Amino acid sequence: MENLLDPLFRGVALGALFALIASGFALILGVMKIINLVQGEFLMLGGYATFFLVQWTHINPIMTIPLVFIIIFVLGIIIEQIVDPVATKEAAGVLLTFGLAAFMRNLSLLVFSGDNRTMPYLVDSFEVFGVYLPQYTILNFVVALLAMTMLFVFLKTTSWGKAIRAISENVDLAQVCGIEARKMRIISYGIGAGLSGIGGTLVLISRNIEPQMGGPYLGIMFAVVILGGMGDILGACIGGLIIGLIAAFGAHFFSSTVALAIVYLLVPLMLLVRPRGVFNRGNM
Amino acid sequence: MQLTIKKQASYIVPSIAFAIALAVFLIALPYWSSHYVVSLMCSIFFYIALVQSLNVLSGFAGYVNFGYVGWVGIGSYTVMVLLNRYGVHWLPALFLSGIVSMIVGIVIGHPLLKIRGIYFAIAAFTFAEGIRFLFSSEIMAPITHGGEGVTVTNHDLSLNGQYFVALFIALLSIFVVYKISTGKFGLRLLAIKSEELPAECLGINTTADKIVAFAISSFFAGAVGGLMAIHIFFIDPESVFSVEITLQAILMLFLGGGGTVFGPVIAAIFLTLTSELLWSKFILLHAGILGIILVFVILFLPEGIVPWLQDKKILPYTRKL
Repeated sequence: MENLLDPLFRGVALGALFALIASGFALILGVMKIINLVQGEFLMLGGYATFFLVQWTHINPIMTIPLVFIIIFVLGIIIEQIVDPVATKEAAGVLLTFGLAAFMRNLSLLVFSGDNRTMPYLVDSFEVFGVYLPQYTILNFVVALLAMTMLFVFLKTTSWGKAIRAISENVDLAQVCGIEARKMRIISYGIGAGLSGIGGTLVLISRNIEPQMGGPYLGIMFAVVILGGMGDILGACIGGLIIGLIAAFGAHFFSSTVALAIVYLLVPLMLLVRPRGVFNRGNM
Repeated sequence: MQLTIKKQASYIVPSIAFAIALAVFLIALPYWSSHYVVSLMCSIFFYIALVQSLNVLSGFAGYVNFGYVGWVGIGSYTVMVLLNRYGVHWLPALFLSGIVSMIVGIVIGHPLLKIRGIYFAIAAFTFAEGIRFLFSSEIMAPITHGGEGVTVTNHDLSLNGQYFVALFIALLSIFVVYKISTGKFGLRLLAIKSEELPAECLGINTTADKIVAFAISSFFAGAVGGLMAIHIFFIDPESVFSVEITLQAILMLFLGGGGTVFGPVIAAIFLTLTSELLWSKFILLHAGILGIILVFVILFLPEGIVPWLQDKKILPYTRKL
């Protein structure tokens, strides 16, 4: 029983990280109704942004998080200009972002080279309930929790947040009420990108980054959003937790490759059996 | 009335002459070309067949199979097992790899096709990725040799032989799509693509038709995958289940025009030739260039080349194209 606490704690921390990464995807899916396949690349570029920022300025990696958010936010706004024409046409949106993602992945491969980059930080272990965990586990959990809370508060209380929620429910009515839908779409795409970007920072610290990582993490984002229920951030949180636990326990009992295969194969299964998520709260 | 008949007749003689010239050219080609050219033609034929079979499911029925490479890879591994372990002759091996892929297509497609349009794409994609992890994992290693790959050499099919088999499969796929396009099955699939629920209300058994389309699509995918395994004679999960194959096939389909007969053929030939001649030196950029072309196609040529030409009145509006 003692032994199972290790994957449990790891799973929860991993789950928080996955929830953060997927929240950007969920936001864009909920607001713009497109399946943004570029999201994995935002994650990857966020990681590289941290890597180079730290290399050039030698500041604490944690300090880079707000900076990375802004950088990837701006990148998101730029990419949004290309994506917006197909914003409401589902099939075209998927194909467009598919091609765009392949292009960005390739460009990154050329610019950054294919080497794995790591930035070990807070790797010393600490003990809790007899389980030894690296300190970045706590970091991931805290940062993810903080970011998700801020996102939640932003969406609930600020005028921009309410405008974003309005256009995700009914674009026409929102525009009638005076909300500039295009502006809000741009902003929400930027926020979604930024969220995945800071997820990339955490991945760099706790694991490694390389140009092709967008694909596998995108698969995880799918799994999170589909399990938790598509359409809102709470769904990403729930799904993230579940996927994190599955990944941790899967790696504990089998291997990480098998765990990843399970997570991947869960997606078509879920879409078939329970497309609205484990707790049936999705609205797509 | 006489003018109409004359206009139709003026297409017949040149097209027959063209067809004969093309046939002579293609049949004679292996005997006066280098291995490189023959291999290049094989690639063209592979992609013609792959895109045409993708066309049946994704172009006509509109279910874009983002996991297409999964079925190609299953065919490759089937041929590897049949040739290496059981010493089967290449002809039944290729046929069987198509059958195996088709069975997987029917079994997996049956639940998968119940998922609404766009989420079908995600489901198919993650299924293919899951299969890729599975085939490179330790569990399947005794059969698939895991991530390290395996050579496929236990056969007596020469390069020229592969050329003709590839040519045959490509022509067969074009023929199948032509028959579908001019028949009622194709019309039903097109109806499913535009509005599935009203199609169902009209009495079309959408489930059955979609599964048949999936079966046809995966049969060719498996057969081509098997022939590709023989052609490149070393397979491993990374290359055989590569997303780039799906990307290329989807791009060719949308560039040429889903639901047309010759659109995919033109796009396949054009893209394979340009990728070989233009940017084979920039092999690292390959996926990226394909990606950006896809972006342009979606933004500016959403229906594909053939429908675009038809809209410009350069080509006639006929389902035979």
